Amino acid sequence: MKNTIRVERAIKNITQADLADLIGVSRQTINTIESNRYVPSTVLALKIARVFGKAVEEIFILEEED
Amino acid sequence: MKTRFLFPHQFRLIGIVLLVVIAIFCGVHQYQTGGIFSSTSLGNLNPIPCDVWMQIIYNDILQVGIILGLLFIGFSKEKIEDEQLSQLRLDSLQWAVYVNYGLFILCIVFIYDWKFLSVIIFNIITPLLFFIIRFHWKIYSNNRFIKDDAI
Repeated sequence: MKNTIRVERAIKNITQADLADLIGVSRQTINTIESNRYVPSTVLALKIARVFGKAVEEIFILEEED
Repeated sequence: MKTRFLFPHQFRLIGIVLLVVIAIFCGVHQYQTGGIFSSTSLGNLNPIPCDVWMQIIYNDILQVGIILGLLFIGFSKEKIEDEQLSQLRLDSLQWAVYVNYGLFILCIVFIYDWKFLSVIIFNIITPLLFFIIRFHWKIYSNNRFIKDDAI
């Protein structure tokens, strides 16, 4: 699964730390999600999508091997 | 996020203090008597003299203290506790159990006699030790990723 969090952050002009604060996780968690080393739970994915005001599918995209 | 079965964050400090105190105590004791866990407690049991009883009680307190200290360090909450850390913790626990029993099997095959007894004694704490080392190593390396990735 890939995601567009980095792009969405750039559009909204917030840092990893800002996003982490907004959804109540550590900055490390945001970093591991962005670099595809951690797949977030549904709850966390929904929270991230809500911050950017978009649907979850626009931010998290399934890949061939999923 | 709700986490179950974890100690509050401050318990890590309690665990570290506990281990440091025990380490100092053992160091002093070793210096004075030449051994931490006296072998007299096994050899001469009937009747058990008072000083041997004291030795047994000391040993019990030390062993329980070491295990509690490691449990507190390993299973206290991080400052920001979230789902990614929970998964990292469980991964590390699984890794530690595999490594521990892998090494233990090697020890069963290659070590015999009284030396094996010390392997069993060490095996009481090695799963926790491996878990703590791996868990914190992973946190450290993830933090390094953040620095590389500084935005």
